[in-house]
Amino acid sequence: MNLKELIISLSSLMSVTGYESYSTDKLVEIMGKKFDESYVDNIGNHIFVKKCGKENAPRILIDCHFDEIGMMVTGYKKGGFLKVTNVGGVDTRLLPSSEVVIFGKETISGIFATTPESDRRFGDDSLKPIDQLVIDTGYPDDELKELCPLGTPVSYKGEYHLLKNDKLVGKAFDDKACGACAVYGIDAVDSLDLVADVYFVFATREEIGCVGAGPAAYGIDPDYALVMDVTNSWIPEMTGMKWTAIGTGVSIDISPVTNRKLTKMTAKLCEEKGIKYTLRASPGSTGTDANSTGTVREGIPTVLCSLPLRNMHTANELLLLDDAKALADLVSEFIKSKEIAEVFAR
Amino acid sequence: MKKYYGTELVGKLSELFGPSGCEGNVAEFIISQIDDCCDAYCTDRAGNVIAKMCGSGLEYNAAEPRKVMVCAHMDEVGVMIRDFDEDGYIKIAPIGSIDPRVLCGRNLVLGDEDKRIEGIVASKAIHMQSPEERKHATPIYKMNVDIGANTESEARAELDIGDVGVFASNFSLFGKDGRYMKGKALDGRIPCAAMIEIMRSFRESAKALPCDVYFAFTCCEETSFSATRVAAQTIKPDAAIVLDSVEAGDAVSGEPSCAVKLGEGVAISFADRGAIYDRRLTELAIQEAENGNVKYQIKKTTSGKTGAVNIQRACEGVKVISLAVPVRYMHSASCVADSEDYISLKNFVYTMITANKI
Amino acid sequence: MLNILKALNNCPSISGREHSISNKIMGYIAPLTDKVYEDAMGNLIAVKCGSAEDKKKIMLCAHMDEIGFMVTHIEESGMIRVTTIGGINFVSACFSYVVSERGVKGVLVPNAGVPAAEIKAENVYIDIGAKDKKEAEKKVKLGDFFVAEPSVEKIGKRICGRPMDDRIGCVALIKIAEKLSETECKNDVYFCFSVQEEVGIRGSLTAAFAIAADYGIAFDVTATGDTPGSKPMECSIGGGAAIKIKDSSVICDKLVVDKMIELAKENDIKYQCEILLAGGTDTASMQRAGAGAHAGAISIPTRYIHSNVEMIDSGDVNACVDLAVAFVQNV
Repeated sequence: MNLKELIISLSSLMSVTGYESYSTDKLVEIMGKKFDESYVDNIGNHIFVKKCGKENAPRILIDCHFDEIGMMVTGYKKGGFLKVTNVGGVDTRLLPSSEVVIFGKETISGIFATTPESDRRFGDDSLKPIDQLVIDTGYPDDELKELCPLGTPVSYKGEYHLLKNDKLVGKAFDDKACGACAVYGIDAVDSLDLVADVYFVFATREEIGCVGAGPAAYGIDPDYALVMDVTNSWIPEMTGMKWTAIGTGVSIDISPVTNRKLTKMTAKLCEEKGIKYTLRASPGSTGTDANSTGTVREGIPTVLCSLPLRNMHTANELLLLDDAKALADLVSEFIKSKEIAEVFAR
Repeated sequence: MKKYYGTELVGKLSELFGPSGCEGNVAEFIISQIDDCCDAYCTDRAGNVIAKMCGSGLEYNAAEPRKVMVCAHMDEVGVMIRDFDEDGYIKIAPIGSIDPRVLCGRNLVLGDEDKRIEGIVASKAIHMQSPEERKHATPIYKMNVDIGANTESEARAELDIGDVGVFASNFSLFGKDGRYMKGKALDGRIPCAAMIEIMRSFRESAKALPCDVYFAFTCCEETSFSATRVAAQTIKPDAAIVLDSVEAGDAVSGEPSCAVKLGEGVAISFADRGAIYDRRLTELAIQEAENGNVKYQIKKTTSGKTGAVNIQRACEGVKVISLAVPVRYMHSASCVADSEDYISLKNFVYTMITANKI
Repeated sequence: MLNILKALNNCPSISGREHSISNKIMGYIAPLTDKVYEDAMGNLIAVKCGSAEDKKKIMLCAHMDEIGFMVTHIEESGMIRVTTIGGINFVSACFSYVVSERGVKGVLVPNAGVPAAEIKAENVYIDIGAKDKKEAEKKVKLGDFFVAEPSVEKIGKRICGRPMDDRIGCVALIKIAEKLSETECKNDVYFCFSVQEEVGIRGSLTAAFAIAADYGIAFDVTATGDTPGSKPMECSIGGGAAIKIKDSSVICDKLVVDKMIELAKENDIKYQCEILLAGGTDTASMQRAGAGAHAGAISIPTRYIHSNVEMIDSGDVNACVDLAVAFVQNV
């Protein structure tokens, strides 16, 4: 599987926050023999280990979150409709008429109802909050209740295609595209070249407050960590600087919550190995799993590397394959770097 | 060319590229489906496809044949390219009535009759939106379409100002046992499909028609330019049956009791914002529906309008009646219609014409 | 059950000042369990040891604290100004009797002329009937807390009063301990009566870290969708134990939710599923403390939460207890 295929196959898995277990089997199948061990911890993190073969080896944590934003069934409306609430940051601007997949006892498709023209006042562009929207399923009411009990997860329908210049479009690249880069990057390295045992964590519940990464890091107790997430790339609707545009390679975050020295060394690594990168100032909290890993146990030195992404949290997220390739390369170099291991391995 | 039937035919039509003013692909496909079941057909100068089936038999007055026109529109709502920006994004304007709330974040296909470029309506991430921005849809004139171009010149190499676009949306069956149909442009294309299949029914049953029947597949219904009027002026019919769709507001309407309901049959309306329909024909339609056991409902509101307005006022005036198929989420990428209603529509028109009372 | 509830409701204890309720609960729980201790934050933890070889650690958690007011200032007139602890509903709190930790009675009143919608901590005061500051200071010290007067009433088939949130959860825990003490207990069960839940789920986080349980189950109240004007919600009082799927702080472990539903069906326990759109619980902290746990919650459907007339159904509470016992013995 090449990187593009890996991104698509991981991103298209259903992994709405809290329901990642629906895809455990498929995930393990995709991972194949790339790792030596895999397990799911108590809270639901999917953890994959690649051993370096040395005894008492240090441990590197590579964290991406597996969950994607989505919705959850909260009730029913006569006529075959479902009521839902959001799980994570769902943009209601995108919902009317959008297609969704409902993962009940059977997987069925649904469509968010729109405001009928007869109810539309001229020039009205107001958006209803999600609890006032309904999903049309085309099923009889009693059957629907049976098929989709309360709590049934709902996700965007994912369709993947390439636009000009190798720009890949689809749902849930946040953060499974980074996950694909991690897996691809780790797989590209021979075990003998690893400077440590590599723990790749596909973390749970990031979208509702970075819940899974902390417990994962606590359980693994790594020497140092690389957290990878997507970052908002500039699009014309945004005001201000054209920051972290796609095409600028890996975005390395400099933040008070991450380790400054590890960050600098990672940037230097990119420099040496010819990996395209940009530095990004994140003066506050990063809003990623890096917030959690840094403060676990005695404090885990963490670096945050991001993949620029347009249209985040929509069914049409857009990334540039070159950026993803750069991120995968960085992962490979990071787990081979003796220089970093010398400083940060305990 | 291969002939398509039933929901497959609706599906094929639904996926065709045909915003108002650019219906060539749809016209071509329709001709491929009807070329062997009518007596004559042509594409007129406004772009309408008009097919004729001649009457015969005892009830037919060959000297002064009555002319009945059946029409439906081929076009769909869409967008037109207005401008490009330096980063290769495309600015658009709506063709027809599109609620901005159904356009944000959608997949589009841009181009004209010959070329197709995929694009998406870019959307600022929810993280970057102010609370106020979250309450309102982005106006269409502020939307940016991303085709992957890095610069203006790259985008202009693919597309030009005035090129058009439609929703990218695959047709599929939907709901329990696939009873419903989901796709774009169903509001016009279901009536088009119905007309194609009605023509085939006449031909296959070798039914002697009491009048000459003109089937007009018209252009530009979604805009103010009325190609339908041109068709009516060419045909000069005695009466016209206008097939269209009506928004089924039973999903979310504040007053569901007034709303047209999906699955309850063809909607007959007495009047809408465009026309007050011929009373005798409307009564007749209801009667024929009852006799022929065709499922129908009365549209209880006067919202919306159809191409009938342009036929009624053409030349010396034409008696018109409107039959509409209920469609949910009209003018969006995901219209939903009931295949039972589609069958009702076909039966209705067949019954009306063969009854020879029009 | 009613007697225990009355006893617990009558121990005013706002967040951070749970000593009185903790002592009271100790009296009930100690005879039913093998070990009881209090941790640094003040969480009361009682342990019932299991006998199975492959036994697991299960943490059951209900919070002891309640919402209330803390004295910040006494005016020359003898009126007492307060700040809020936890989410106060002023519609209910105003013009009602309040009582301090020292047993001083008073009434909570808004400043004259304040429109109802604008009532907040800054413009309410407590009148304890003192003629001036000097007299008031004899009865009330800065930092003292007040709560709305505790009560328990039977109203029709329901039980009404305050603070049901979350004394009813504590009662449930005691009842669970009671049932488990009658039989052989398979797993190690940690009964945690947590502190400071109302101010942001603080106590259970450290307790959960220390216990490092495999499973964490919270017992707390949840809102219902069965009253006029309530937000649409598929949960009602009298509808049985509410198995939490989600609230604003947590998405429960799928495994736990499924297991609970299965056990409820098997044992004929009345249950319903709960998705609470506003409000958090100790479930969240148990899920994420340390290396994480399989976390879920069994909620007691409650009308008029955070008012003086919180209403519950005793049948629901019994269902919660039965479901918890089934879970503890079968997981």
